[in-house]
Amino acid sequence: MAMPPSRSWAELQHDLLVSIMTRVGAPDLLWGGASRACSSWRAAARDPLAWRRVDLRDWVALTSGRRAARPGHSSSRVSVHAALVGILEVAAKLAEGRIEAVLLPEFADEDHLLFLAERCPNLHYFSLPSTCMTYDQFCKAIGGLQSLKGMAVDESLINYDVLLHVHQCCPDFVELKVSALYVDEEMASVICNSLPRLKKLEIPSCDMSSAAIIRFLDCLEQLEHLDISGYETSAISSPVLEKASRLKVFLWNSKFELGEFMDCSNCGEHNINPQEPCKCMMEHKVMDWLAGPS
Amino acid sequence: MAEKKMLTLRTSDCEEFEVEQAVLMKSEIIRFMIEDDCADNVIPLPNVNSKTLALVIEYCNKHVHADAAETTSASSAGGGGEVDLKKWDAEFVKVAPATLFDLIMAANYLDIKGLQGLTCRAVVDMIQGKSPEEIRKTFNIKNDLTKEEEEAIRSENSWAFDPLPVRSSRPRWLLLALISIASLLVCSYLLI
Repeated sequence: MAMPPSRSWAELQHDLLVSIMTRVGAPDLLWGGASRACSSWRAAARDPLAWRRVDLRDWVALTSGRRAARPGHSSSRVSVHAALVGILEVAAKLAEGRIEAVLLPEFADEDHLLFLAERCPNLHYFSLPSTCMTYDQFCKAIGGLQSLKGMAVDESLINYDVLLHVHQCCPDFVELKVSALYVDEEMASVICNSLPRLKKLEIPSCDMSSAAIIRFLDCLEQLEHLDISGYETSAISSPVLEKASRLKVFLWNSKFELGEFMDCSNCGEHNINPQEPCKCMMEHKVMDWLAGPS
Repeated sequence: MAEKKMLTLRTSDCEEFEVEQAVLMKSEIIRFMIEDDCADNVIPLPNVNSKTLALVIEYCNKHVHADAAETTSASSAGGGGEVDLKKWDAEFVKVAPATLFDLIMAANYLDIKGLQGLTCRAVVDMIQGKSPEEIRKTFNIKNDLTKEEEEAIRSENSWAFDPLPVRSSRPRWLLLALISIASLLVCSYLLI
């Protein structure tokens, strides 16, 4: 029996090409080779499904891709602020207003979030790293994002009134990621009191007090995922580990995943299993147990 | 130990592979056939050739046994196995584009979720940052876009920008005016 003729990449089914394009970054979808190899690839790159998730964090790649695509048009200039609005406009159009997740670059501000709230009201998740934003405009944008489930923001937005507004406007909100240098019990209280239904909390590369961690574990009853990895913290203790045992995912000091060994902050020994307590921690547990009432 | 139940798969080029039934559970299509008890002794796969099926079975074997190992050692270090599996996956998709094409088709036809994701990501890694010419060469694609279509692509995104490193741009004449004023001030100061 003769082999059936193998089809070429240009004739890959549209839905398979789209599933590939959903993983391609915005620069390639807009101006890169992926969207210009042939007509079927172009059609896949413009499919609304390819634009459900838009990652614009790497602005340099985005702008260099743009210049490379049109080398003779560098005389026309607009601000990065306006350029970002332009790209969001294109992305919202291609997604037919159904973008679900947007990761914004560092210079993005509340105006861009407001734009998204108007054009893509079904947004589920956004990342907005800006460290200086007006509460009023941010809350106004949140008011238009009632399908929001999660967000990644700077600690400057960790404010009771702001987060309570999120809680009140977004009934499905369950996921929060915070960029912060230090989290104490007070900040932990603000998060717990304003967003009591959090299921996933990520505060990576942050110095955090033991009281703050315990506050999170005590007050966020529905918490399933807690990520406080990436920083040398001495706040992990046996009470913390006991309380954290109910979580599905608990990430702390997980530099091992990056290929590094981690020193135990208590005894200094190398611990190659960062998600498990060090031997001295286990000994501490045993001593606690022995000292307990019998 | 109970004898493991085996199934036979027949490829488009009439080769037969005898495979452990548990391994084939990775395929949603075959799993449904098994669970509905309509899998005969030999399952024909007219859309998959022998070379591709061998790779698919290798993938399923690796992942089924990795899952089993992970379950067994759930209480001990789980990180090592996962890292090894990722490395194995990365090596597995280092194949020629034509083979990768066949793997994508087979993963889609057999509905093997993990392999679908893995092969799609492999393609993405091959096209990200590449020019249209490079992609056409790698994947043996003919350009069927007309010149008009290519030009339309270039200009279809209506805005034109080449961002300045500042939040807002100033009119050019204003910049020149500021320079002129500064120059006058310097001259005035020198004349005093």
